[in-house]
Amino acid sequence: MPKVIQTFKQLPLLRNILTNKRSGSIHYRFGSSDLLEKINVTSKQFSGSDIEQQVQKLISIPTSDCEWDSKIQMTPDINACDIIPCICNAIRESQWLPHHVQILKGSFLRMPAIHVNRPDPTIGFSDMGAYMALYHFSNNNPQSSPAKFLETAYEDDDQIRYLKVLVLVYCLGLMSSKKPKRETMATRILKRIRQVS
Amino acid sequence: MNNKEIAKVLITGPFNSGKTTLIKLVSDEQLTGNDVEATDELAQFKGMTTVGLDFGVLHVDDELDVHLFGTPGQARFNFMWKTLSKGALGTILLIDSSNQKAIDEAKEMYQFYRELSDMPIIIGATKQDFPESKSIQHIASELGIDDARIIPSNPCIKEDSKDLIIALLEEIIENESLTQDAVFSL
Repeated sequence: MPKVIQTFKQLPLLRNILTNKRSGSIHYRFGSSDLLEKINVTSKQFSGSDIEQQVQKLISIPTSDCEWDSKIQMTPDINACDIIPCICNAIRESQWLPHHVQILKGSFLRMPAIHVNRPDPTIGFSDMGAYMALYHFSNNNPQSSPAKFLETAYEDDDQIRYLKVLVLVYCLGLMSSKKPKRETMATRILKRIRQVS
Repeated sequence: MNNKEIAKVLITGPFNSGKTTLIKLVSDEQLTGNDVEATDELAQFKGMTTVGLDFGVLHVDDELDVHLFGTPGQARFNFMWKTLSKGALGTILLIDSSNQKAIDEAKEMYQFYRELSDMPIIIGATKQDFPESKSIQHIASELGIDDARIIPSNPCIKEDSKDLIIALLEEIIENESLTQDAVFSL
């Protein structure tokens, strides 16, 4: 039987949905389960049955399959929650299993130095201490990669707090790469090819 | 000393699919393979064919050139496909829609390049205006891909050739923007 690869690729999907204010559905599967689960998204809300628990699972458990479907037209749903508070709650309540922590950390450890936006109290994230630590770290260190930030945690509990705030700033699009933006080869070629007459 | 960067783009596809024409229309300079009379069973389809490879250069700016490599279409040259694809930004696969044998060969080529790397591949279906041409849906089904991935194209029309390259570049750019997100898929 082929090995099921589990990743947190639902996080870039969430980030993409939130930063681009997209509407549609997230279809996902945990492990080798036959059950394909679904969360509906509008520009401001998640909806579906037991939606808060569903979002918490989506934040906490790696998926083996996770796709976006933008074709479905959304209608108002009484089982809905506002996206940002729902994600904040899901992160606060998340209790990752040790091997899930390793998968999640593994992804952040590969990221380059990041810049983090100034804390915004209206987001309502419960651990502003961890957010402030990340914000100051990213401002004061040229090599402010998530890997270096996680190294500053004194205890395991701090590392989970730091991981949670990294998930928050990543999903809400509150961080960006410090790598200077250079016009890529493809962009330059694209400009040139448009001029070919 | 010339310190220009070189970007490599592959134009591939079975015999008689329009590779030479595409390269000719979008290049500033072209060094073409020798056109010789087709002598094998392909002669019934095309009087002249390219032996060796087509090569075109598009000057982008003072620091960058694009090298367009047209792979030989005949299956007996498939030993060159792997070598030519090394370091390529992406590939355009042209398919003669009017020839089922060419579609079958294109399927093999598509699978070959897909297994070789994850570089973007754009597919152009040529000769869609021929009465015997197969539909885009048929070609997509043969290749096992979504029909939205195939662009009808006439390489003799410069805008069509440009559109194929633009589609390829847009896909490359989209992939680049996902690099940070990709750490979660590893």
